[in-house]
Amino acid sequence: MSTTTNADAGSTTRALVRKEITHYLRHPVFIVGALLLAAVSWLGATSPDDRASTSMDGLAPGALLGLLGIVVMASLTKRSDRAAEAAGAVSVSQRTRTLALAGAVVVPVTCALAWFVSAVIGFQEHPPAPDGVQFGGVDDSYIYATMFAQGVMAAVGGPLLGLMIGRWLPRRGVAPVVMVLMVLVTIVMQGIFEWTRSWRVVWPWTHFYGAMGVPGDSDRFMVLTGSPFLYVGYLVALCALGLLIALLRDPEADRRGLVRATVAVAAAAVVLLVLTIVGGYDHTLVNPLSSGR
Amino acid sequence: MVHYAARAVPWVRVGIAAALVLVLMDVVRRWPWHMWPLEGTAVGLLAGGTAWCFDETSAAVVDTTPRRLAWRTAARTSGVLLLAASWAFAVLHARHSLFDHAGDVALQGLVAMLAAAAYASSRRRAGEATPGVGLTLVVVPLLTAWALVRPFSEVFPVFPYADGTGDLGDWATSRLLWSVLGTGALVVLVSTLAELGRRPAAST
Repeated sequence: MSTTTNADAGSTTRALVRKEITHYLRHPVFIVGALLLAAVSWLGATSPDDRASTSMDGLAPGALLGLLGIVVMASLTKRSDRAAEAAGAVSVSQRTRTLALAGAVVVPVTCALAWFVSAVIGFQEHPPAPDGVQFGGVDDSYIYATMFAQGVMAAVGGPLLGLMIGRWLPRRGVAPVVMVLMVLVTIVMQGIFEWTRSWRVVWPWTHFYGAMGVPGDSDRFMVLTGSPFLYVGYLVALCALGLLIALLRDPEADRRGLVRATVAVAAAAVVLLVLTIVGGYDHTLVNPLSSGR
Repeated sequence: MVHYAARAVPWVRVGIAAALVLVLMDVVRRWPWHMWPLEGTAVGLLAGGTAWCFDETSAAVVDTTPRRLAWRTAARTSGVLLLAASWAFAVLHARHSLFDHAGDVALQGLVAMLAAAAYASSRRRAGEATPGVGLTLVVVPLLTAWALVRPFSEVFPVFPYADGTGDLGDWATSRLLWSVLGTGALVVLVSTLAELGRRPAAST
């Protein structure tokens, strides 16, 4: 009996995931964002920056899939709630609907992975100049881990944040306002301000290198502290945390189990954050070559 | 009209948008080179906040009352005035940090508000109750993302970056783009309001 029920629940979830994927694909904000990303990626991969190649292009998927994903997922969550409300006493629980919405993240992630592949190929085809991003011991994997964190992980995290907003703060206008606040804090935390550099990896989007400049050479490339590899792990933990917090909103959920899982994932996130901060380079590296600008 | 506006405009949301515009532009004022994308974000918020002002969630009821849509639309512009005032103050306050383009920046915000008002009022005329909600969900994220990524900035400089040197986007072309949008929005808004003024009450 219970096996049958579990099988039914599984097929319901799969059917709902397919439906939410379709809704995500048809959302006008996603469509515009994906088209812009395709255009920007093509331009970036064919004529990349001389000193950075495609290594700094993570902003595009971060903004066009991650940031826009906040609003897309928040509106899909509202749509799902409205449909459930209209259906009256439905057999589909909020937990199943939340999981189905989370499953729709596969849409932006697929786009982000396509961007990642094109950016890696672009980086291989057009290596950066010696006065650019790659100097000292900075190898390709360091660059790729950073690009993965900025592009692919943002495409997961943004929509999951939107799911959390849709579940906990479903009021009108909250998602756009949260998105604006995210942009404000992200610019501060991306490593351009010296006072945030040592702890900037707390934030889910940041740089690990860039033309941050030194006195007398405002375009000089530098590599910042912290490990982008462990940062990806930290972001995975944050995404899991976001999903668990969204699931906690369900009044019929197994709260005890969910709270336990949330605490465990939060603890893992803290450990990964500390490891991200102490891992990688322990001091800022400055490219010895002048930018010539 | 004041009484109606006090109840009809979503003041909390519009107030938050106006306050955020002030905050964003003050951050731009302090660190103009690094924080410039927030200028485009503020423009998006102005458009979204303006569109909110024209939403009538109870349209099915109020459309049958003696107050015409034109009268209600006029009353609702008080919310837009708050946004315009906050934008004017923010740009004036930050003018020395705007790389001699305070006028262009002011134009972007005003045109964004005008375009949002034109869209929202024309959709209201067509019978849509809450066009602002949908517009905000599109215009705020897209303008924010556009200001960050600045795609096609050399040929289509929606938000030139800072002083606009090199490939940061040409301010003259941008001014032309925003002027064209503003003119189009003005035509739509005027024709919509004229149409609303001619219609008998309770016909929407």
